[in-house]
Amino acid sequence: MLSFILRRILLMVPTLFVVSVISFVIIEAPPGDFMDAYVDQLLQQQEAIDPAEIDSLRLRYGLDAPSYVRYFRWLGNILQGDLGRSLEWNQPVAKLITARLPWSLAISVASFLFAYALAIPIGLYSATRQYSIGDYVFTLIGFIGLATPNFLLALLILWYYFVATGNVAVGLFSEEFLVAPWSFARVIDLLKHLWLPAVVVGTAGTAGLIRVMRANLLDELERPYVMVARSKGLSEGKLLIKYPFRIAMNPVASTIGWTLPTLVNGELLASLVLGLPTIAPLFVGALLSQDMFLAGSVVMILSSLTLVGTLFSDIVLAWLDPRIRGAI
Amino acid sequence: MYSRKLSIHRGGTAHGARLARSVSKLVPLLIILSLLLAACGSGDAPAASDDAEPAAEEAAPAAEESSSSEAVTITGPVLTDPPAGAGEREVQSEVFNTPADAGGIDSYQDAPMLAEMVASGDLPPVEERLPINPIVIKPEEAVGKYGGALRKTVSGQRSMGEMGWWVIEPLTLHSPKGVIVPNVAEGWSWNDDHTQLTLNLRMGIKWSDGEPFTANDVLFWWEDIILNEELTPSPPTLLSRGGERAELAMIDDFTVQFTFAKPYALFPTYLGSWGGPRSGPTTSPKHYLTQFHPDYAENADIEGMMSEGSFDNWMDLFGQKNASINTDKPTLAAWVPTTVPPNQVEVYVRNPYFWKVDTAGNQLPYIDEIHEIRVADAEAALLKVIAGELDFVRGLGTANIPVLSENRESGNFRFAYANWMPNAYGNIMFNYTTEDEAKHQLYNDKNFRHALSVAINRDEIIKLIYKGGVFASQIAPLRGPPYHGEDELFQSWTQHDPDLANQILDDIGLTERDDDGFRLGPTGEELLLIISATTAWPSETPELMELVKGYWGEVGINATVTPEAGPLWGTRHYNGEHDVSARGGHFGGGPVHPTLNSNTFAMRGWQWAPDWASWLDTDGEQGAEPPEDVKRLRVLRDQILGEPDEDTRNALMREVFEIHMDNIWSIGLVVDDPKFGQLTHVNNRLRNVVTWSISGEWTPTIPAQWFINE
Repeated sequence: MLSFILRRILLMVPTLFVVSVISFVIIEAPPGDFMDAYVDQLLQQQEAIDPAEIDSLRLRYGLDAPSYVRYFRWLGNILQGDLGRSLEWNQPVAKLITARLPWSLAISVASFLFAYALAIPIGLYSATRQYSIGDYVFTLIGFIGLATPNFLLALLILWYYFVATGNVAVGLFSEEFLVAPWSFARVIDLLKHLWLPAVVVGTAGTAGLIRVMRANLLDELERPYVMVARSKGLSEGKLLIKYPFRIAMNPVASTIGWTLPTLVNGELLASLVLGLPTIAPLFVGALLSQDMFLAGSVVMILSSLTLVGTLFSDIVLAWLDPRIRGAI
Repeated sequence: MYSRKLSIHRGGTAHGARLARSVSKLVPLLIILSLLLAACGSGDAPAASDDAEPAAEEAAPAAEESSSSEAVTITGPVLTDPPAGAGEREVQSEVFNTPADAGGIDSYQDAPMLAEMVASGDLPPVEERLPINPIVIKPEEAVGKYGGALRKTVSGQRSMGEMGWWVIEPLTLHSPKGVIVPNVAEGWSWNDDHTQLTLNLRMGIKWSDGEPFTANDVLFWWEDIILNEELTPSPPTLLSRGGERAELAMIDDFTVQFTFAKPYALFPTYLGSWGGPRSGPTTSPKHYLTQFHPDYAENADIEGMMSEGSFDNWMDLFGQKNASINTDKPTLAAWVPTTVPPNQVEVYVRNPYFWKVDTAGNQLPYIDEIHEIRVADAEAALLKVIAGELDFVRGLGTANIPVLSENRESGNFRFAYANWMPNAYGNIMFNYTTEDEAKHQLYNDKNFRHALSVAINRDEIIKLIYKGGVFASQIAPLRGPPYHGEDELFQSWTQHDPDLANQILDDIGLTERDDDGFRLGPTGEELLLIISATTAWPSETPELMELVKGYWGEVGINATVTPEAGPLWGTRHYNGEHDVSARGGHFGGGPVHPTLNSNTFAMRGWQWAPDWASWLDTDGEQGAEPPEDVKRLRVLRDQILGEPDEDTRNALMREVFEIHMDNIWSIGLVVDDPKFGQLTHVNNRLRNVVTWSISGEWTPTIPAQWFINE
């Protein structure tokens, strides 16, 4: 078991290296560099530009060096634990990301709670009352949830919420708490605003989970042991929760491992629309402005989390099924 | 004696303010209570408004009397009349260089929050914080009241929104009426041939940390930032004249002197102009920045700070400390940043040492805090505007004007606009140095460009794409005096005349046609113009060019359109890879002097012919030699920079524009109407805002005089 885990961890090293090369190439692929994007942005804002200043900045940021030199400079820093400085925000990347990580996690956790809290009972209902009207309604809602991009959902909810209440649900705090220090009232205010992103981000996940839960439970319900339990007179509710439900939860639980990266970046487009202080808008901005260090770091962190999540799932599986341990 | 009287006043006012505040808190409570108790609420409503009226009455005399320590006690709105709409009122604000110019000021007052700090001994009294001669602002509408937070937006990707402009107090400033007036500099004088400028700094101005601002700070900017080759490898172009860098000397603690190799009469204008050297001289606090400069600080200390902030070199460290967003860096501006972006909201608080007052002697700014709320999504920002959750927002987009107008009442806001240099949309540029022989010959023939220009039906373009808000025109400078962008001159070759186009094209020898009816090139080969249209600014450029392609087809010119993303377009354009290209453009005017605009004077980065500009910049070492008319533009620019007489300068500018309109190096389609293009949303609770500004950045209108009328 230990050697299996070790082997898997060693395999992660070359994978991460390949990921770093690919992400660097992709981020560098568009023509121009950060300064070009910067100048373009200034021009659009109708600001005057002194080309002398641009040249000196390009020189200072080392953007004139060939790309492989810049790649190894970047990689070297990362190996020393230094993510570099964001060109756009003129701050250490590590500081930018850690400042926003709690918000990303809060929203992701809230949306997961929302998704699981909703999906599991609905899945249970749909499976036990297969092809009932309720099942069809939930299936329809589920598919709509799966098919609607969540930024669109965010815009729609924003608009209808505004029409209904006259408030704009952008951001995580109302006006009076925006700059206030932390207090109990501010936490309450946060909770009042957190539900919207949680619902928006969680909807797609909910729909998927309902389907998984329903299918697994339907499989289990046809097993002979269920019939035996019924024939022995076990009450339907007790039977359901105690046996098939627990087994049906297994696949649902094993997907948690893959969700590590989505915890950090799952709410990307919805965050942009809802103006949330998460990592996602920072990442999108960095990609647009070709802020190599920031964008590259976020990609590296996401890739690492994917690998760790996969490793975690593999370990759980290997622990459950000894045959897998020898396979890799 | 004098100060004791003041302090008594202050004690009284603080007490009164507290009382008034608690009363004002009670009023809504009472209303709610009475609403709950009474079966019908309408009977109680007049009672509530009775309460509010005395407050307004109190305010009015306070505004007139110069002793406005009572202004602090105002709890209701100062102004009860509805605010004027966009452009409805001539600019009323005035800037007086000294209190004497304003007719004298008896006493100075400050904001309650500062008065409290003075009372507790945390801050020197206001008289000691102000310079000897504070600038006096005659407010746009009325003497305002202190307090409140201004709510603005900042887009997802920028560290500062408008605050980026507002945090700069240059040596000279465009007044609300568009004239260059003293600001940090109290006055200046030229020698006879305009080669030496002596600037007298306003005595007694203090940085936001209380340290005095002196000529040493200006000298530090010059010697240790501009002249430091590591920090500034290539010094700003505008600090050179006749190819030689200016010299700066410190005469005494409050006098500095610029010396130029050639007359440079326009320099004081540049000191206060957007795009000019306006920020450096007054944003370089020597006492703070020397900690990060190796000429002053210990190398070990700098290295320590570098490794702490993971900086690669000291220049980056210095750059970060010298950035206007650095919360530790002292400033001369009305508000000081307190947050390091990006945050959900960026907060700026009042500078207790700000050196401007109103005509009643109240230290500005009125507004306590500026909140720049980060809204990444344009639709979300629009929604917040409609909901009345923002106070001042620029550039919401012409497309949104109908939605905004519809919600003007429910959202309780009005519009204002800026008379900014017009944006020219879809101006078409040619590659004058293309390697294709036939095209090279055609593009360099101005008759060919004239023909292509009159072939375009601009009126139809306006109807199909813009639905109003733009005019058919070549690229034009500011409308109205002194450049008259609305003049017929800028209508040259904008008439829709396909017959004339055909005739010109026939005359220059493009008479042979192919099987599809398209004209063949001069030597009988196929002629296809490839238009690269940017999708970035403006985003409708590809649509505009599709229409243009159709109009050109009608006169036998075959063209094709390829849309390109902004940065890609830029990179390819400046590398000379485009055949024909299209993007927005400007000619300058207004607070941006046209001489600062590279399009107008074929300067470095000339969008229309980068190769010609670089030939002129390098004395023929690089690029390609331009025609005589282009060289003439540079000669005229040189004359304008040195010309002290404004009328002569404007006559020279006229000649420049005539050369452009004869050559049409770039074909313009439409320019926008600033009333729409620069439409600004202003919440009705915000007062003292001019109804139209001379500048899109709104700094000349002095946001420090704005107040929250609640």
